[in-house]
Amino acid sequence: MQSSAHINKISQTSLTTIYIAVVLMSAAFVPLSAAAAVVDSIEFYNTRLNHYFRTEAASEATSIDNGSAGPDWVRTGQNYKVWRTAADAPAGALPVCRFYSYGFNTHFFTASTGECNLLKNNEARDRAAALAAGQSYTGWQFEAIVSYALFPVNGKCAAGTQPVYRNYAGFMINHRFSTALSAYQDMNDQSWIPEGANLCVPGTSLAEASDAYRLLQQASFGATEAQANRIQSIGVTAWVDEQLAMPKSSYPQSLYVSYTAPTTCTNDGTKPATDPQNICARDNYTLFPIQYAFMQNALNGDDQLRQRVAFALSQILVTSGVEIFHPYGMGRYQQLMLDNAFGNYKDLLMAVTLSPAMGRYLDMANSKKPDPARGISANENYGREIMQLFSIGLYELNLDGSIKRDINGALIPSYSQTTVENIARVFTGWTYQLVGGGVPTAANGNVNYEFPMVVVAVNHDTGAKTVLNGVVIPAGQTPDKDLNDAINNLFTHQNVAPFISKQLIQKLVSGDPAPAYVARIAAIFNDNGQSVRGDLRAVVRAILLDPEARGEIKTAATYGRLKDPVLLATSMLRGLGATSDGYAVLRGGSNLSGMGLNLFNSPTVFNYYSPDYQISNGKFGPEFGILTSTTAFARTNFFNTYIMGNAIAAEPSVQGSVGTSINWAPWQALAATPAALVDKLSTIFVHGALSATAQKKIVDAVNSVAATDTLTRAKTAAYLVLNASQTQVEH
Amino acid sequence: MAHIITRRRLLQGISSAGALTAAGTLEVLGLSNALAQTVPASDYKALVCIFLFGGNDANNLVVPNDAAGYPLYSAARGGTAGIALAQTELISINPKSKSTAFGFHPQLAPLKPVWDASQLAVLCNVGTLVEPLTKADYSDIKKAKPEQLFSHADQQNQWQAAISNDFSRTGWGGRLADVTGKLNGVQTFPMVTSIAGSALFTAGVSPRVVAIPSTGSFGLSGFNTTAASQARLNALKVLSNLDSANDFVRESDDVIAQGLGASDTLNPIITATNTTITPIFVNAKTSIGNQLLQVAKLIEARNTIGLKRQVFFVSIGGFDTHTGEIATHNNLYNQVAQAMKAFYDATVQMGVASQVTTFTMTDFGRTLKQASGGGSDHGWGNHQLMMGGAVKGGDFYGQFPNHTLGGPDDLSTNGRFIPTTSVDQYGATLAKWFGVAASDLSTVFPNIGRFSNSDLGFLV
Repeated sequence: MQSSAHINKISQTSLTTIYIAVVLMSAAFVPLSAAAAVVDSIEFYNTRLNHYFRTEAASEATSIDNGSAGPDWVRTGQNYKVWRTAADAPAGALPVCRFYSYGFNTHFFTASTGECNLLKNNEARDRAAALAAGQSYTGWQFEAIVSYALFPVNGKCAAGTQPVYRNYAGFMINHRFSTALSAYQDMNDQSWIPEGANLCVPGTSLAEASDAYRLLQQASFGATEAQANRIQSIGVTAWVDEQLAMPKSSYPQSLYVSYTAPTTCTNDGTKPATDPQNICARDNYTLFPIQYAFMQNALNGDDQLRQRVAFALSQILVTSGVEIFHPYGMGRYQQLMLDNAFGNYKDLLMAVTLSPAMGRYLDMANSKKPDPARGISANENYGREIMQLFSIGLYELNLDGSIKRDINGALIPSYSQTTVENIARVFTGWTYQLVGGGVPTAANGNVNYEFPMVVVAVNHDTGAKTVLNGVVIPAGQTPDKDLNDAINNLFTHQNVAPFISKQLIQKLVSGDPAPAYVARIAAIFNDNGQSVRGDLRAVVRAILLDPEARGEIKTAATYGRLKDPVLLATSMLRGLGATSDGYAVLRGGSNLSGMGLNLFNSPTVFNYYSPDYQISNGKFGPEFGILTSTTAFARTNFFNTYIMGNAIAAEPSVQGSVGTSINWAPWQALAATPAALVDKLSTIFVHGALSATAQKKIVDAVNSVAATDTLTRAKTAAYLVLNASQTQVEH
Repeated sequence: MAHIITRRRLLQGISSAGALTAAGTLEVLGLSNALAQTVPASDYKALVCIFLFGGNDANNLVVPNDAAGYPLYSAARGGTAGIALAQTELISINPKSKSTAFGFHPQLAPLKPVWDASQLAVLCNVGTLVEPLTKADYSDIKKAKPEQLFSHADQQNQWQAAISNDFSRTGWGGRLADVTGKLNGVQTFPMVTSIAGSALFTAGVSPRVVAIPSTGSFGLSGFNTTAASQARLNALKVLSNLDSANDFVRESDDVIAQGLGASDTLNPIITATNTTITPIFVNAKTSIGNQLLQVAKLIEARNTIGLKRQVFFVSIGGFDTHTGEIATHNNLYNQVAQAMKAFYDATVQMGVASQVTTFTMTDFGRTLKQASGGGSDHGWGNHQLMMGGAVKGGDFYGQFPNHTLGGPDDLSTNGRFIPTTSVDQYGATLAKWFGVAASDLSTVFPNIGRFSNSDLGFLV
C-alpha cells in the first residue's frame, strides 16, 4: 500500500509545529443505538493547519464544534454515510482503523487489514522502545475501529456503494477522504497526491455516471442526460457496440454542376438571402449544404460515434473548401469518411486516392507521365502528402508512436525525395469521368466530382518505380496494378499503425497519450485478433474501452484535450438541451470560423492544427494550435451569444430551418438552489469533476442575481460553467 | 495553505485587471498615462514579418531580364505555354550591384516606386541551412542538412525557428523578443503581436505574444454595469486564474488571461474610427491588407502601448502552386503588393518609415522546372523582399542562382536551388538592426556561428 510506504518513510526530522489538533474523548466511541445502521462521516477542515479530519461519532463532532480541538476547525459539509458496525455492513466489509500521531499531529484511516496490523505492530514495538529510553512515544497510535467499509474490486465499487477518493499531502502528512469528485479535483489542483478510490461506502455511485459522461465527451458530439442514462443502463461496452452497429447518417449526394456558376446562380449582394439566385449560389457553389448537414447530424443524429470518427478522419485525410467549394464534391468526399469510419483503413486510403475531390485538391487528377521534351515532371503533390500525412509520416516510428533514432541519435526519415518522385509516377494518368459518367479518351480538364477518377492509360508512367522499404513496382504494369501495389506498399509499412492510431486517440481522448496506450491500439491496428490489419472498428472500440480512456477520474497532468470549436458548439447545444439546426453556428455573427475552425475549410492539407502542436510546456495539445487570445475571446463571446443572448430565429432562406433556442425551463427549476444548478451543469459538462473552488465562485455569481430572475440565474451558471477551462478541456 | 506557485502566476499581474477600462489595465501594468507619454517617440523600431504560406515560387517574382538569363529561365519553365512570364510583361529593374537587368512580376507594379526610392531590396536564394553547403557537400553524409526538406510543415517551422537540425518549440521572432525585452524598460506589455493567429515565429520562452483579429473587436462581449453582470465578469476572471494540476487546463487559462490583460489597451486602438491610416489602405481591402492596417494602427498608437520594440506577424496563404500558378500569382502578388505599398505609405505618413522594416518569408522555393498541370513542385532556396526606410534598397543581396537545370546550384535536375544564404543570416541582419546585443545573437540564432557573416548589409 502506498500509504504504508509513506507512513514508514516519515522521520522525526520532518516535524515542525506540534499542535494538538483533536483531543480524543473516549465518549466518542460509545456504542450507537441499534437503529443507526448507517451514520454520517463528518468532515472538518483546520483553516490554520490546512488539515482535514473526519469523525463518525456525532458527539465528537459536537465537541469539535465547541472548540475542544482548538479554534480553527470548521465543518466542510462534505459528509458521507458509513456502516458503523460489522453487523450493519454487507458481507466482506472490513474494519476501518483510525490512528493518531502526536508527532505528526494528524489522523490516518485505513480499511486495509495489513496496513492496520502493520501500524499496530509498529506501535507496540516503538512504544516499548521509547518507554525503555525514557522518551514519550509520538508515532502512530491505534485509536479505534470507527466504521466498516468495502474495498473496491477491480477499481469498482459494488452496486449501492460509492468510492471514497483519497488525496495525500506529503508535506504535512495529511490525507483527505471524499466522495465528491469536485473535492478530489480541488486537492489535485493543490498538488495533493491523488491516491484513487480506496474505500467503498454506502451510497449511489457517482463513478459510473462520471465515466458515462466522460465516454460521451470522447465518442459523441456532446453529452446528454439521456445518453448517459443509456450507458449506465446497458454498460459502456454494450453502448460502444450499439454505436458501432448504428445505421449511418449521410450527406446530400447532389449531382454534377458546371465548375463555374451560371450567372443565374451567382451571389448578388443587392438581393436578399432568400432570393432564388442567391440560394442557388449558396447551395451549389459553397459548402453550406454539407456544413449544414454535418451540424444537423451532429446535433440530432443517433450514430454519434460514427460521425465523431468520420470528423476525426476528415482532419487526417484533409480536403478543403478553399479549393473544393462545390458541395456535390465535398458531400461525396465526407460521405467516404462516414462510410469507412468503421471499415478498413486500406479501403479508405484507396477511396480517398481515387476521390475526384482529393484528385483536384492535391493535383493527382490530370498528372501525367513526365514529358522530358517539354520539361514537365509528374506532379509530386499527392505522392508526397499521402506519405507524409495520410499513411506513414516523416520519420520511422516505434509501435508506441515515439520516433526511432539511429545509433547516432539521428531521426530516420521514412522516405526520401527520390521516393516522392517515384511514387508520383505511380499516380499518373488519372482523370475525371465524363459528365454523367464514363471514361474520357484523354485527360479531362472538366472537373467532375460525381464519380471516382478513372485512368487514361496513355498518360500513365509505365516505368519501374522504387517505393517504400526498397520495394520495386515493376515496369509495364497496368495503372490499376501500379496503384494497388503502391497503396499496399504504404498500408503495410510499419508506421501506419502508430501514425494513425495515435492521431485517432488524440482526436477522441487525449492530446498527449501515454506511449503504452498508443502501442496497445497500434497493435490492434496491425491485427484485430483475426489477422486483419487496419480494422478501424476494432481500433475505435479499443481506443474507447482502453483503461486510459475509461474511469471517472484522471490525474495525469497531460490527460485530456481542448474541445475544438465544433465540439465546443455542439456539446453546448446538446448538453443544454437546445433545439437547433446549426445554421447560426455556421453563419451567424458568432460562429465556428471566428473560433478558428471554418468547417471543411482547413487552410491547408495540414489541417487546422497539427497533431504535433505543443503547448508551452512541450506537451502535445493539437487543438491549442488554433487557440490564441483572439479565438479565446471568440469562444467566450460565443457562449455569450447563445447563452446570455436570446433565441435565434429560423433562417428564412433555408427550408425547414428551426433556428437555435435553448429550453431554459429545466435549468430555471434549479435556480432557487444555485449549488444544485451548478452541480447539474458540472455533471453534464465536466462529468461531475468541476472543482469545488470553481463551483463556489460560480455559485457566488449566481447568487448575485435576484432569486426571482431564474432565467438570468440559469444563464449565468451555464455561461460560467461552459467558459471554465476545466470544461473547455475535456479531462 | 501550501500553495504551489506555477509559471502561470507570472501573468497574474496582467490577468487580474479589475475593470474593463483602459485606465484600469494601464494601472495594473504599472504604466500610468504620464509615463506612457514620456517614452521618446524617436526610440522605436518594429519588425514586420509577412509569411507567404504554401511556398512562394519567387522564380516568377524576380526574373532574369537579360539576353542570356531570360532564355535559360524561360526554357526551364516551358516557355509562356508553361509557367514562364513573357519578357515583355516584366517590370524592368537594374539592381545597383548587378551588371545585368532583372524584372519584377508585373503585379509588383505598386512597389516599383518603393524600389526606385531605394527602400525595397531582394535577398536572393536564401533558405534553410544548418551550415554552408555546396552541391558536392549535399551527398556528403558528414555534412549537416536541414531535416525534411520539401515538407511544408517542417520547412515553415524551420524558417520560423531558424533552426533546421532539430525540433524547436520557439521561433526566432519570439526569441528575439526574449532578449530585447529589456529595451522596453519597465513595460511588460506583450512585445510580439500576431494578426495571423498562432505561429511558431512568435513563440518565445517567455509569454510575450498576443494575437489580435484582422478586423472587428478584441475583448469580451455582453457585460454591463449592473451588480449581477459585474459579478459574472469577476467570476469569469477568477475562473481563468484558478490553479490546476492539469497542463491543458492551465494552458487554456493562460491564453484567456493573456487576452484579458491586453484587450483594454488594444481594443480601443483597433476599433476606433481611424481617419489617418485607414484611408491609405483603400486599394488593400484584403486579408493581408487588413492585417497590415492593424499593424499600422498599433504603430500609430505606439506611445499608448508604450513599447519601444515590437515584432509583428502577418500572413497570406495559397502559394502552394502545384497547378494553375500563373493565375494564382496574378491574384496573390497583387494583394501582397497593394498591401505592402499601403503599409509603406502609412509608415511614411507617420514619420516612422526608417523605424519599421518589413520582410517576407515562405515555406521554401519551388522547382524552376514546371510540374504537370501548370505549376511547380516543392523546392528549397528562394528570394525574399525587404522593405523600409532603413533598407538599402534598389539592390539585390546574396547570390542569384544559376538557372541551368542540373547546374551548379541545382540539387538534381528540376531546379531545386541549394541556398547560398541561410535563414539565420537573414534573421540576424534584421535582429542586429532591431537592437539585439551581439552577445545575445547566438541565443536567437543558435547556428549563426557556422556562417561566416551575420550581417548581410541590407540595412543601414
